[in-house]
Amino acid sequence: MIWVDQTLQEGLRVGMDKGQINPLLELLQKLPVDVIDCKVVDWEKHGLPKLNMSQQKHIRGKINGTLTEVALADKLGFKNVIIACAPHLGQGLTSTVCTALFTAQQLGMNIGFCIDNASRFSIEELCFLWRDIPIYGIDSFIYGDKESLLEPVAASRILASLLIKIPVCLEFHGHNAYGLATGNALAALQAGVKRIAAAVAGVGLQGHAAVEELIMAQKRLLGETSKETGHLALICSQILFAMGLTLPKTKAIIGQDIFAHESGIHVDGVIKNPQMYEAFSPEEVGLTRQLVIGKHSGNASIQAKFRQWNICMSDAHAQILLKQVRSLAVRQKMQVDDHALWELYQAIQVKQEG
Amino acid sequence: MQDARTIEIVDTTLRDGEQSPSIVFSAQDKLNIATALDKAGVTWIEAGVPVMGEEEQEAMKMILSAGLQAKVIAWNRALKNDILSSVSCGFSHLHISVPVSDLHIEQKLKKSREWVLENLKQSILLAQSFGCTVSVGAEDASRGDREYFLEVANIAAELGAVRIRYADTVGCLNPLAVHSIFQELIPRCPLPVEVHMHNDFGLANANTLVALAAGAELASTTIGGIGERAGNAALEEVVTAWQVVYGMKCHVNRNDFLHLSHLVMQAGNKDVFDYKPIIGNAFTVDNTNKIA
Repeated sequence: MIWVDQTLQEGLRVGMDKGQINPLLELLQKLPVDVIDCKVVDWEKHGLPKLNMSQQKHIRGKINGTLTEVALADKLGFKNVIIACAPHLGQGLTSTVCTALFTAQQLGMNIGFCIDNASRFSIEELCFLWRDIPIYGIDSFIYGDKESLLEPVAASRILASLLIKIPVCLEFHGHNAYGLATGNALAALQAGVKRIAAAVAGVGLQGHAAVEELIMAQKRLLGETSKETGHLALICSQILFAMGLTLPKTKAIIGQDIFAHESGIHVDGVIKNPQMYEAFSPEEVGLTRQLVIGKHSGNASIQAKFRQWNICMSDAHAQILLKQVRSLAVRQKMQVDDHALWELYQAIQVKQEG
Repeated sequence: MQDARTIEIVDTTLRDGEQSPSIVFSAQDKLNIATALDKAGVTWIEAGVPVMGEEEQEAMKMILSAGLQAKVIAWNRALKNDILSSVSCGFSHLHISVPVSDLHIEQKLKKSREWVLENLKQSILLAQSFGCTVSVGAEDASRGDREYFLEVANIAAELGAVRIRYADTVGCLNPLAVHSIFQELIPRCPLPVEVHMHNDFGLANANTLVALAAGAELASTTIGGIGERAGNAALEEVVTAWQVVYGMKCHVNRNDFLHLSHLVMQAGNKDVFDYKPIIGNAFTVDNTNKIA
């Protein structure tokens, strides 16, 4: 398992209340995510109860490297924690962070050690920081790109090198300030990183890699086997709905309109072979293909549309209708729906008969 | 340290962007958007497809007569009618697109590679006979044979085309693949390369930037990343990342992005997703007092 969820944390951050968090957690567990991260202070702030046995397994609490927060995580039943810090350039870890790590170890927690601003440091500097860290009890190192400084080629190079040099499981936690998060996360995956932060539709403070994009990119672009993805669009849209967000219709992988073909050249191609203009089939994520009639339609689109209604239309006839379709689409500034298309068709019929 | 390389933007909000299924711009919208792009410093504006009909042609004429600094381009298939429509609108920059993957050539056109080359040649010559400058588009290049792409580029170069567009038509490239493809392709390509990436896996922006870093000179973008299916590389993301992450140059003013986005979303009757980088609410409101 690879994906570390950041959606719950964003839910907490934007103020979802106690009653909304449990349904969100249930939905998140339908996704192929391994660990669900959240900030312990936010968990407390929302008055959420001590973790139960099953939550302890997959929810991981992120805390700042202070004793107070370690104690809070312990009180709330977190067994898996991330101890995060953002060291200054040229300085080692503070004694507060080291004490927090040591205390968490004593409490028997599984510890992920996170340097939020790791992308500020060179590989050598990061390895130098590791000298201060007691390995025992720390099961992962989380490389944070808090300021979205990385691009995919650099991410791949740096992480491949750290995989060799860092003695624990390497994780990558990137952000999306400049729209590179999915690219960076995919590069991390290709470099061999085993755990990667991601959120539904890339939500989060400064954004994250979008989990649905990574799942499908892993399956389709890297050709790796994956879990069933047939409900991906539905689950993701339910999660966003639960968070009070509207899923954009053209959101990659899960948006309702990503298989809506309108332009003449595309519809013509898709009718001949859907692969022509589709990277994967709609059924794979639980969406459907639509032929949309509008300003960009061509003759072939019109004819295909009417074939769906068992009407065989001549080229000349389609040409006349197409002109009217384009003109109507421009006038009403939107596509021409089935009803309007049918009315245009009938008007022409009458004219031709009369 | 590498010198700060400058890239140019070929914005296609008005062509590929408008091909987003739910979007139709009015002629006035198109003029407003073109004017704003020009003001922001975008050097190339792909304005539309004149052969689509009178409404489109009217919009094209308005843009062409607006006295923009940017060069305004018409999109064409390698068809006589397409080119004649563009010429009669008054365009002097024509983009002529041909499919270069066997899938598209054999199944969509039901023709051969040779036929495509011949057809392209005739189309370029026809456009040039009217004094037009031509750029060539290689549709579905990412799924095509690389040698054939270079063959198309060579013919285009011999005939005097100014650049070639490498299109990842279904968005099936990933950044590391782009890196290795472009490292090999750029030194062998006789023309400046423009990259046109789609966002089907959320990688359009990353793929565009990696290609630029490997030597592509122009990026094809749309405002807010609107476009066919899941859209294109977003103007604001490409420019900002190129400047901030790569430390390179592009003479487009980042202060204009919110205005451009507002203009396009209003004209297209769309909302920007809160978590869209640069222009989404989650990125534009002040979050400085919160920790990641």
